[in-house]
Amino acid sequence: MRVALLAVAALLLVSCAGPTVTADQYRAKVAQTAKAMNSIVVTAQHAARLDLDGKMLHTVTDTVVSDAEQDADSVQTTIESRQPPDDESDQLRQQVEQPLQQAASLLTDLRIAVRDNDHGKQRATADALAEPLAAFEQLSGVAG
Amino acid sequence: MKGVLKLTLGVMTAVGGFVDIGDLVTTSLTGARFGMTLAWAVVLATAMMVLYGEMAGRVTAVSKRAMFDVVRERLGVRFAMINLASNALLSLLTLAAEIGGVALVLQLVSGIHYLIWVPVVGLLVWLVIWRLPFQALETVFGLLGLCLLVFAVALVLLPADWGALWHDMTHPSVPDGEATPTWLFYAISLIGACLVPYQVIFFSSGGREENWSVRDMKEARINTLVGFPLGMVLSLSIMAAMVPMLRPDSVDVRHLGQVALPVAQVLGVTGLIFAFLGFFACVFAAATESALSVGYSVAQYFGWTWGKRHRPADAPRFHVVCLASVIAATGFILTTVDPITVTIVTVVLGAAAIPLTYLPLLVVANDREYMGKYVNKRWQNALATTALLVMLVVSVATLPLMFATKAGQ
Repeated sequence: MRVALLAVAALLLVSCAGPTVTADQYRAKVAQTAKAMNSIVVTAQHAARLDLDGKMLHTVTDTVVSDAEQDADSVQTTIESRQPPDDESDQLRQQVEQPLQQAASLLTDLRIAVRDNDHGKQRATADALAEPLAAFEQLSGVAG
Repeated sequence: MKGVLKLTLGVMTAVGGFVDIGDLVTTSLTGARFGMTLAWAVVLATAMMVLYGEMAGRVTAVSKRAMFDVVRERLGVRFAMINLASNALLSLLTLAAEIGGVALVLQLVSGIHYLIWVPVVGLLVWLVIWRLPFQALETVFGLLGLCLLVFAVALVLLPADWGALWHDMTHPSVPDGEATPTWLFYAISLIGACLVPYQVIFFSSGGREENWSVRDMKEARINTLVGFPLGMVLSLSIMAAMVPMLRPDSVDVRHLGQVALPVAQVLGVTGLIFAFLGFFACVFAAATESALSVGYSVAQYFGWTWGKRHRPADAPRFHVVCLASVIAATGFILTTVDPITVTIVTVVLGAAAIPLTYLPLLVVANDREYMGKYVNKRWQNALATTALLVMLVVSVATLPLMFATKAGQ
C-alpha cells in the first residue's frame, strides 16, 4: 500500500514538471514566451503612460496593469515548468529567466506605483520596462 | 421619430448580437494580430445574417408564429428537440459569458473585482427581463450601444495608414509569420461571433412581441438591412482601431481593458466613458437577449404562453425558465472560470452548431403552407443555399482547426 502511495506521489511530482520536449520545441516555447511577455509589457507600458498623460481612468489603469502582472506570473510559471532537454536549451532558459523575473518584478512595482498614485515611480518603472522588452524582442526570434 | 424608434429592434439585435463580449474580444484580438486581413469574415457573416434575419422576420410576420413554434411543427418533435438542446446550451453559455463581461466592464470602471459584480449583474438582468417593457429594453440598449461609434471616431483620429487598412481588407492574405490554420481558425471564430444562434431566436420572438404581421414586413426588412450592417460597422471600427496602436507591438488582446486603449490614446477619459457605456449597453443587451432566448425557445417548443407582452403571472413557466437560466449562468461564472475563456469557447462551439439554427429556417421559409406567396424567391434560395454551404464548411472545420492550432495560439 505504501509503495503504491509513493508511486502515485512520484507520478504527480513528475507530471507537475510538464512534458519533456525536444530542443526545437523548447526553442519554440521560449520564442512564444518572449512574444507573450512582449505583448504583456507593452500593454502595461501603454496604460501607465496614458494614465500619466491624464488620458485614462485610474481604475482602468489599475486593472490593466494588474492583469499584466498576473499574466506575466502565469507565463513565467509555464516556461519554468518545462524541462530543458539539453545543455543548449538550459542556456536558453537562463537567458529568458533573467528578463522574465525583471519584467515580473517591474510590473509589481508598477502596480504598486499606480495604486499609490506615485507618478514619479510610475514613470520610472514604465521606462525601466524597456530593458526586459528589448530582451524579449531579441528572444522572440530564437525559433528561427 | 416614430420610424427611427421602430428601427431599434434591429439595432438592438445587431449591437447585442454582433457586438457582444465575444465579438469585442474576437474582433480586437484579430485586429491587433492580423490587421484587417480578416475583415472579409465579418462582412461575409453580416451578409449571411442579413439574409437569414430577413427570412426570420418574414416567417414571423407571415405565419404570426415564432421560430421554434414553427420548426417543431414543420420538422417534428425530435429534430426540434436537438435544435432546442443545442440552442439552449449555447445561449446559456453565452449568457454566462455576457454576465461575466458586464462584470468585467464594471470592474474596469469601479476598480471592484468582477466576481463581486457577477451576482449584482445577474440580479439586474433578471430585473430587466421581469420589469422592463420590451420597447424600453430595445430603445435604451439599442441607442446606448451606439456609443461604440466612439471607436470609429478614434480610428479617424489615430495615425492610421488608410491605404494599408484598405489593402488588407480588399486583398486578404495570411500575414507574414502567421500560420494559415491559425488565420482560418480566427476567421471561423469571427463568423461564429457574428452568427450567434440566439440572435435569430431573439429577432423572431421580438417580432412576435411587437405583433408583426404582413404589414410590418417592410419594417422587419429595414431592421435587418440597417441593424445588422450597423453592427458590422461597429465591429470593423473596433477591429481597425486596434491596428495602428496595438499591431505594431504584436499585442495579444486577452482583456477588455486592452480593447479600450486606442480610444484612450486619442480621446482620453471622455472617449473612455463613451466606450465603456457602449461596452455596458452591448454586453448587457446581449445578456438579456440570450436569457430571453432560452426562455423563448423552451416555451415555444413546449407550447407555453411566453413573452414580455404578457404579465409574468400569465406566462409563469416562461419567466421561470428565464430566471433559472440567469441563476445557472451566474453560478457558472461565480466558479471563477475566466469569462473571456467562456466567451471564446462559446464562439467556437457556436460556429460548429450554426447550421442547426439556420437550416430549419430555410426549410420553413420555403413552405407555402406557412408562407403562402411570401416563400423565398429563387435568388434568395440560391444565396441562402450558398450561405448554408459556407456554414457547413465552417461547422465541419471548426473543431479540427481548434485542435490543430491549440485554439489559435
